Amino acid sequence: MATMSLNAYLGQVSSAWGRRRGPQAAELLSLRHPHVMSSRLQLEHPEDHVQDVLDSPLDELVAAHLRCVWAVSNNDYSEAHRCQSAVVSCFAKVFVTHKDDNWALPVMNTICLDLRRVAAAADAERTRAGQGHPGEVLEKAAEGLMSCFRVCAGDTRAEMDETKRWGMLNLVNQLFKIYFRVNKLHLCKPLIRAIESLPFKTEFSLSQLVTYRYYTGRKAMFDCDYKAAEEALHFAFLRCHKDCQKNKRLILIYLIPVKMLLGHMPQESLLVKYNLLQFSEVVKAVTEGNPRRLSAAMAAHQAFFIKCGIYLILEKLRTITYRNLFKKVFLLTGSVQIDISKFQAALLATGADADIDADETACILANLIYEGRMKGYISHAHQKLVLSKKEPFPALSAGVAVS
Amino acid sequence: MPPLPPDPPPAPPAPPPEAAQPPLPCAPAPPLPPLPPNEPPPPPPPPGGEMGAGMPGGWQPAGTGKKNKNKKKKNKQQQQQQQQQQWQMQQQQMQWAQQESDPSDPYEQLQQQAQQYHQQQLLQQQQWPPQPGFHPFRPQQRPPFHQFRPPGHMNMHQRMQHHQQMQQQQQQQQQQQQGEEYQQQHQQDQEQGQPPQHRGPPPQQQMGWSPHANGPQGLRPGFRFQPMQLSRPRFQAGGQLGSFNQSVRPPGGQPPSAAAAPAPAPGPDTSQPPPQTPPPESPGQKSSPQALSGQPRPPSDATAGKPMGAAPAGQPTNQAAESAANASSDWPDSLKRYVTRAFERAVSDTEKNRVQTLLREKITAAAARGPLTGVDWDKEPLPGAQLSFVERAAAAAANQSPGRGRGRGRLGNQSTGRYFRGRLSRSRSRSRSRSRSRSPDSRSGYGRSNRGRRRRNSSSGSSRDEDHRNTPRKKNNKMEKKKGRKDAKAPFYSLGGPGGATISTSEQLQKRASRFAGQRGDNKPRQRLQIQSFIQSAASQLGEDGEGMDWSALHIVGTCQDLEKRFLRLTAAPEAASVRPPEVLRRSLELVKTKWKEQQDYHNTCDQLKSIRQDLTVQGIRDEFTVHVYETHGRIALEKKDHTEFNQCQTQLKALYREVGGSNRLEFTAYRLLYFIFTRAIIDINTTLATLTDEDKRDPCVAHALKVKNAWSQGNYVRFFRLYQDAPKMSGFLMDWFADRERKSALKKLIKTYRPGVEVGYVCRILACSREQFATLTEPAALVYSDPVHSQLDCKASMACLAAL
Repeated sequence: MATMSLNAYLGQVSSAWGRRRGPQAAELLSLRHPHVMSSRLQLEHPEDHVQDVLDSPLDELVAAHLRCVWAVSNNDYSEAHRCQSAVVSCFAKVFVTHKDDNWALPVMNTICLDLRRVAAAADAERTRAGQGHPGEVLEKAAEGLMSCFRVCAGDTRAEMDETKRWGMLNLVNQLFKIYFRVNKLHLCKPLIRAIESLPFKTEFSLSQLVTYRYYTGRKAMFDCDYKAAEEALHFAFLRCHKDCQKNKRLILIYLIPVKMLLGHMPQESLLVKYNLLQFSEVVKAVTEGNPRRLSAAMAAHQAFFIKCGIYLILEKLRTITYRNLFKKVFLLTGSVQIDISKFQAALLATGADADIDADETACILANLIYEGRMKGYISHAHQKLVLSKKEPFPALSAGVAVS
Repeated sequence: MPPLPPDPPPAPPAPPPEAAQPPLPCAPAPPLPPLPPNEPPPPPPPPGGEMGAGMPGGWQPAGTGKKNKNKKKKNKQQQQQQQQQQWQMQQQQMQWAQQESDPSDPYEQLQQQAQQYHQQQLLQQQQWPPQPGFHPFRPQQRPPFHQFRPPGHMNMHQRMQHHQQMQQQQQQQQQQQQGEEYQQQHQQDQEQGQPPQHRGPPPQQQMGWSPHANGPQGLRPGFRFQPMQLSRPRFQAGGQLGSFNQSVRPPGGQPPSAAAAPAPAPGPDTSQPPPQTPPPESPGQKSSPQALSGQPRPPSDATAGKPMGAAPAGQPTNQAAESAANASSDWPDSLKRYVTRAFERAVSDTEKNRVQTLLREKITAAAARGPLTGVDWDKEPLPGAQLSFVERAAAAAANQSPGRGRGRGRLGNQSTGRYFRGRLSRSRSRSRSRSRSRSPDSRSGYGRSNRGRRRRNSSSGSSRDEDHRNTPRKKNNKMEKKKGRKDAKAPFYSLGGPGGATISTSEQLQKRASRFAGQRGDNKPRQRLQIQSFIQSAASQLGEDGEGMDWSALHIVGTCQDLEKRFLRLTAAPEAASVRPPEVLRRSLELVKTKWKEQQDYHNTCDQLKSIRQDLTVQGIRDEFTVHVYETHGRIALEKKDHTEFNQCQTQLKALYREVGGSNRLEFTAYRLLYFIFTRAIIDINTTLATLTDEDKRDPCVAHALKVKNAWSQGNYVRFFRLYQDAPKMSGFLMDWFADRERKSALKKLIKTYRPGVEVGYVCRILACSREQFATLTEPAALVYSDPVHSQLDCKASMACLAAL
């Protein structure tokens, strides 16, 4: 395969395509198949050869693919991206003519995946060379993927088993990957809506669903919808293949903060198993209600948390830390009417900020009450917190995390 | 992203068994030509199709009414031919059955394989036209084939007509050649293939192809080509063809036992007493009448004429076959091992072909030098290992389809411009597509008999292609016919002549390759343009510049001297006369600033600043002055709460600071952070945080912005509004944008948590606002106060109107 000749290759493409062998054709148009290693297929100008054997519009597609193979072999990813864009846009044109037929979906999945990967490489290349701003190429790749997505999403009349809509989820996942990378999460919304409105949205392959839920979970987390985020990420974590430790770890990076915000602290063994000990100190600080320790833990692993994009989410754990701290104060005083100054003293003792005054303490209390972490009210006239006699500190996991 | 392409695969996948080991042909079962690898089993053969069947009803060609008129007549002719052919076939089979060979030799196995295939083809031709209901192009469950069929595709009737034409032409040409000498264009062919007079019998004769075996009237050359055209459907490679082959097996007849037939090509070559060094070109060969007269030959004619000057009525088939069998059985073991090794290395069919050619070449040369045992075959480098890519390509190309190589050579000399270039690649194309679809046949180095057919076919294919490429064909067609008539009476046994040439030396290979390369060069521009432009258009569809036009491509130097200019969105390339140079822009900016201080007319100022920015962009100026312009505009937009302009400025500034730097970088980083808090873009905040160094964080503006971010994310309104009150530089302006939003959310918390009420004075202090501001803020909510002067807020009663805030 690695020494495949052009004729053999073109013959196989023609055969696979003519007999509508989706997976076979997909392999032959993939950039991760051994045939790309054949120096006889790495052609700068494959057009006339290809045109000789294949008919339009397949010839354009294959010629662009071969040129892309050539470009990749030369490490010219910008050119590869241009070629792969041509492959995808050409495919979209062909695909739309396949009425009531979706055999080419594997081809679409393959070339779209390759487009994204090539675009990512081209983006890195350009960024290194200082051309354009990062993410530019990826966004263009997203446009190419969208052209395929429109073809798929528009195929509403075909029967269930031959509709192109089965290809939507794969494309959406590819687009998610791009949008998350270039920080354009708002573009995900119409995609999610399109998938959620599918009658067979739960019948896609599990791997696709896991990816989809992972990204929707992350998106919900950034939208501060922690319940939805927990649900989606939990699904992804449970259903992710047990051998995909790396993926499971990625899911956990977002699932752990969300779960913590909802009051479920991870066990140490889980953190050890997935090499996520960065969370360990944070968990301990939150559990014991120690704002100082929390600050230290956050500062220690700030780079990691920022890289994962969860720094701001973890900062919200401070509220829970305060709640645990104040519960201790409540237990110590043994009364439901507590001076705000006592809370202030507790805050100063555990040392968040030295300049915390009564107003700010009251503000922290107000936030906790407002979020339902504590039950009670503040008497401004008496500078006291009056706690509810029944369940002054509702269990965190039962808590309504309003944000 | 992991780098592309992935690591090379650990090992190339092993060739499928049928490719590696050709089936033993001596088995009693009818040896079918091996299917190309990776093909599914062919569909079952159609019901017994003996030749001579009438034209199937479903084969009415669409839109060729005129040709239909002659249909029946031609059918009849065809039938006669076929009957003759069948008779001949039976004769051949009898011959073959008498012969034996040793299948243990891989080399010979290959030969036999090739031979079986040729036999199949013979049968296949006999079977033409197929039975009603049999549609070779459309097996099962296919989309309508016309989807794949190029516009110029010939239907069967057209093809038959065409073939009759070709027959005529061939005969004419042969006749012509008998008396005349080759034209110049034949040089190459003759270098490679020796005229039969100088050599032993051409291999094809051993296969029963020679007129001697078949009878002079036997296989009409044109007729043979018909099945070749079946490979026309480009999208149906081996599988369908395999099925077709199967279908043509004569139902009752004795299967052609190819076992007996010795391999034609290598055997005789090695056994030939004179080594295959071609005789020097005879001067006469260079001067064909056509070349002399300078008469341009229509290209298809050129290819059609290739079999001219072919083999004479050959020697008895058996004799040659025996010599071939003897030849390979004489081989020393080391040579056999060498051959096996060489074939093991070849994975694909085309590679095998190439290896085969090279082997043949090598062994022939070695045999010429001395006894084969004299060579240390175990140490001999394997063929193909040292070939360059071009050579390989040429070798492979020549190997796959001799007709192609020849056609190219000939036409290359003609070089009559575009037309030839076009058709050149066409002719290549035909054989290419075919070579895949009938991969066993592509080992055609064995059977010279193939050549005639192939070549012929390639020419016909090419003219067909031309049709659908819209090249003017009519004229050429005429010429073809004319020539054809002239050559009409040529005996047909000239088939395997110089046309049967094989590439025998590497010099020739190289020569061919270089010519090939040159022609490719000529070839390219016209063809490439399409796809190249297609790729380009696909790329430009995406656009190089995210925002409309790519200015970097058309930087100009402005000449306009106006200090003030209205901003107009550019829809076309700007003119130098309307663009101001940097000096003017500097003065212009000063003017705008003064006016802004005096008049505070944001609309006009913004307009002027935008036009300055535009002039800078158009001229590609990115320096401190540009930074200054953007900062100025950013500050003014900040002050006037123009979110969109500020966002544009801060985005540009981010890039500008990276490129040219600037003293206010951290100040604007802080503004950007605050702007993201305003837009609640958590992810952007995170990204900005990731870019900050510890030193950056010590900057007062950035430190302040970070504190604001902390207070904001924790909902700590007390701290937030304290920070709001002592915001450095212009941060306060930015915080103004979302201060009211935060006030409202804070007020909600206050109302929900304070009982029984809270002083308005306290709230105003906490939220850093005046009583009037508080009044306007709470206006839509209709809060309830416990005293008439509105100094005490009744929180419990106000709970109902929280939603309105």
